Amino acid sequence: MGRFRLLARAVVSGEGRDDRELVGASREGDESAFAELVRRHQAGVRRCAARILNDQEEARDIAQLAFVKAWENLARYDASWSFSTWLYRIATNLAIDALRARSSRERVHGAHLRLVGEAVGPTAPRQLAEQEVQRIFGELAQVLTPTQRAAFALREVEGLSTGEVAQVLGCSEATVRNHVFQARAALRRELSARYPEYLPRGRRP
Amino acid sequence: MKSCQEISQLLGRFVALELAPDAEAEVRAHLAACSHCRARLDEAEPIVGMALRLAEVPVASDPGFVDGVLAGVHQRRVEQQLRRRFRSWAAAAAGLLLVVGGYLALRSGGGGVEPLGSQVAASEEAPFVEVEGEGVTVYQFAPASDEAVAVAMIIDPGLAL
Repeated sequence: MGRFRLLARAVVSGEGRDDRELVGASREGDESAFAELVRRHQAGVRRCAARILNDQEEARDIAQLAFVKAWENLARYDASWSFSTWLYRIATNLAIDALRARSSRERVHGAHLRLVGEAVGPTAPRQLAEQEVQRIFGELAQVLTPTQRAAFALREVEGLSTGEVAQVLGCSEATVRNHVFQARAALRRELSARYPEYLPRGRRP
Repeated sequence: MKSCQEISQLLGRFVALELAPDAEAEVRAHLAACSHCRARLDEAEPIVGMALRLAEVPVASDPGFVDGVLAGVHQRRVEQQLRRRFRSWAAAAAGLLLVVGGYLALRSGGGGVEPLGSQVAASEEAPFVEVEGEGVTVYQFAPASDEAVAVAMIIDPGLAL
């Protein structure tokens, strides 16, 4: 209990400081400063990992591991990067590795996962509800490569700039755009094949 | 705050990923609040509209997340301490083996080390030594038949996981 009380006080004390101050304090061993960094950035990192992995539990594990790795490597953090971009880089690399390992396991076991979409019903365009959009995206995204998934999640969902995504993925901005446009095209094809009711009327097959 | 007409003029460049970060943030904020412009975006590029909806899905509260990370940090700290200690112990063990080996070589007149017998007994004394700032207790084991042969074990009594 003592530790939790201490942590609670520390989180409050860290609120007024920016990321760089908190990183500096964390480097000096201030655990409460690092806890504040985790609290501040956990939502984005978890959401990004979840979009890449399409598995909430695995995404949570990867996000936690990303923060632990960040703590381990604070001495190597280059302050010319924003802390969140650096975190996204760590988390994205871990998520891509996990996704590749999963794909490899599925190939070995011959388990090709292809979910069947709901029957096409209404003729009017439907609005995607919050939970439904996650489920449908999870199905459609299976056709994307790990890097396309990461580029789409970071650029389109998280709203990072093209330059930031290039930093995260370690490639050029032109390559990021290619990944995003290819991801969009593949998702559009899958949406058209599986859920045409979500397309505008003029675009339905 | 831009009007719907101004936003609609930016939608093409928004979809083409050509807007500067500030302008893009403004378009995103407008789209989050304006169903009219959102419908236009869905018409132009439904996948981008889907991405914006994904961004709006709230991340579920996870009160144990921070503590889980800190637990992982503590575990890594212990692992790092153990690695450092292991390096000190390895240096100490290497030093002691050299000493024991040299002693045995002298005792045997340079004839080499005899193989260790099957029956061994611990020496009564367990000296405390300090190597590279690490305090360790050294236990020596030797066969009853030949006290010239000994094996040293270094055990840190303060080690607690």
